[in-house]
Amino acid sequence: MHIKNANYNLLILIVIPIIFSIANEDWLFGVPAASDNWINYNFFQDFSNEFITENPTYKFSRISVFAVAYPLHQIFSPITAYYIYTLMFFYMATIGLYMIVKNILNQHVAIITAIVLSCYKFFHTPISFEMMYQNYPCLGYFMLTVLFAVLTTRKENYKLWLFLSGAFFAASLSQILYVNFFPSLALLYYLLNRRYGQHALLPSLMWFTVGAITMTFIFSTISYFAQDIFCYFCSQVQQVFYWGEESRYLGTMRGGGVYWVSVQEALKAPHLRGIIGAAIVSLFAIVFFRKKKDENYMNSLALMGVYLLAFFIQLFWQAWGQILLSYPYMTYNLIPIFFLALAGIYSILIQDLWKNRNIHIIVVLFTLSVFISTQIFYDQFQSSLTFLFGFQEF
Amino acid sequence: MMKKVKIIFNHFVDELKTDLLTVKDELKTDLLTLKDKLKTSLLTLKEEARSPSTKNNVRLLGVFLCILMLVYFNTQFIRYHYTYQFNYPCQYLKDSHILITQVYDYLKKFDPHFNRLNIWYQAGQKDGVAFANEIIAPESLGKPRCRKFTYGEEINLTEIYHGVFGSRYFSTISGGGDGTFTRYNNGNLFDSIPPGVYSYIYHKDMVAIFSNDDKKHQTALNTLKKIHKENLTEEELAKISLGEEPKGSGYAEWKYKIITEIAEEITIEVVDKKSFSSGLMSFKVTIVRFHVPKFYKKHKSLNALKSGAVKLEDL
Repeated sequence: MHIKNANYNLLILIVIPIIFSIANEDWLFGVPAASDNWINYNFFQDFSNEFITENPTYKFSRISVFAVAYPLHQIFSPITAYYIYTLMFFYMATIGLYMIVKNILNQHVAIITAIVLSCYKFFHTPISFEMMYQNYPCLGYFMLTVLFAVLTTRKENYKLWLFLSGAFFAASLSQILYVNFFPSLALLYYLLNRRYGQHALLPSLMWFTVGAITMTFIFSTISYFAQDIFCYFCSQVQQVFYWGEESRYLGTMRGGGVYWVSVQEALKAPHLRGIIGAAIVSLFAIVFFRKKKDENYMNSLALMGVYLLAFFIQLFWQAWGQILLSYPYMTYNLIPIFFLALAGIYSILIQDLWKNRNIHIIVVLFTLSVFISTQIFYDQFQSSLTFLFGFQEF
Repeated sequence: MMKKVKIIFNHFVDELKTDLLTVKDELKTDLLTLKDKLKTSLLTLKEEARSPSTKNNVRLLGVFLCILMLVYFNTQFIRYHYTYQFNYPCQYLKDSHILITQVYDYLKKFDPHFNRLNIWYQAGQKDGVAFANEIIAPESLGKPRCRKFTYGEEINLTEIYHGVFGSRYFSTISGGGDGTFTRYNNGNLFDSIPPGVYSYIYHKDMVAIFSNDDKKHQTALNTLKKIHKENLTEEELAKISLGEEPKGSGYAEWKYKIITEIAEEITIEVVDKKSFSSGLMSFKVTIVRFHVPKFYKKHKSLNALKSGAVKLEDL
């Protein structure tokens, strides 16, 4: 039976988390003490509980996550439900990225980028805000938002795709910080639409908005029946969008010190090294290759430009009292667009290799390197060695 | 004589001039040749650099650099406060997850809204990082990280208790409120009554004791028995009940009056005991209920009653 390359690629992406689980069954479970993670678990179990808190809607604004996790936990046992929940959003993100890059560039770059995302440790763990925290599922929702926006420019029925894009954007706003990436999403749509889709912009915006409003209305209705509150996101908006002198992050922490740091200090954070590196490479690539008329170059540069816009918006908010760059769990939300920029970089690097059909070497090299870099196998490997050479000190 | 010397000198100078000119010409020729060769080489190099194979090699180098960067950046990320790659498989996170979900379900049976429970839990040794210290210590590098003899003994149960706490969000770590979660360590052991304990009882009527040690459970029960007025002096009662509250204030007097009422009639009942385990990790929970019927009848302001979670006759 003939199997197309794309199907092999999807198979690779499906197999990766299974290999991880075989190597280390703990890899997708969170650290127990990360209480934010477990706060959400409470809603996975008791969706319509009468909470005795001062501000219950702040937590319930993550409804797009609970609306999926709650039925899963009602149908399956906790561990089975957890596996389905985590793997579903894992595939939503990785296969979503694969489909986006495949449609903008090509399937070779797509598989490399998606493998790298699958093995990216920062994606596995929003660092003490683990997989039950809204960062992780909302990344999957945002990936689908971008995918549907891209499909709008490449497929027929553009209204449907835009509607879906808007709907999933509303779902991704359970992590409200994704609203910062709307300009990047709009820029990507504009650049691709100008080249391929050529749909009118105002109707496009309208269909996107209709999708977003519909999804918000559905969540609001669920929230009304579950918690007696229609505007489930109002409280969250109030909490997050304090800025300037009123930023809540300028207050003193319980253990002393202040959450907020200056942009200069924030940029020194270790978790930003790759992100800053990609921004610098993107900036140089845009400067050097801006006159290239080749489609591959233009699309790659478009992805890098979209990333730079998102990065600069993060810088702006950091400067104005938010903590989008200084805390890893806040920077986590940049991952989808960061990987679009990486796809652009990979595409420029390998385009001739691809033409000469040497892509398989690159795919193998990348796969091996990213597998090694996750080091999920590290202890197993080391234990085997110590067992063989008798280093154990029991 | 001088004329002869002059002729010889002139001849020498002429020869030198000729030689120098020859050398200069030769050098010039060599330089021109070198320049031409260099130019040719550069042109060849330029042409080669523009060939598809060279482009591919440069890009391949770029890919390798990307791989190196990827490996480097990936190893920089920290999971929680431990380095991801060294101790990650040693945390038994799946077992922790199973335990938390089991305890969550168990507590829900007694108190669906968690507004009647006060959790007392035994914190892990050495500020709760007993096993993690061993794993990330530099001397442990190169040695097996998951030493079997520590498995289940030095596991950080405190983290699991925090998970239980987290999953019951509508509690607060201490100080009354909607739920309480009291950590016992740093000298504040189960055999000492914590400040403000009567405030907890005022809002709750149950305590869940978490520990993996049977003796600790018994010590905690003995501690709870001590809170009856007959086992305490007036000074002890005041100290325990008021905590940081300034004496003499109207609120303090009111609070002391209520607490005395509780202490005069309080009895405790062990409602249930259960062990939880997953893998080699295990701990026990004891649920204790306070009985202060006269007090409850007099003051109908318990959170449980307020929320409608329980009816008066249930108490």
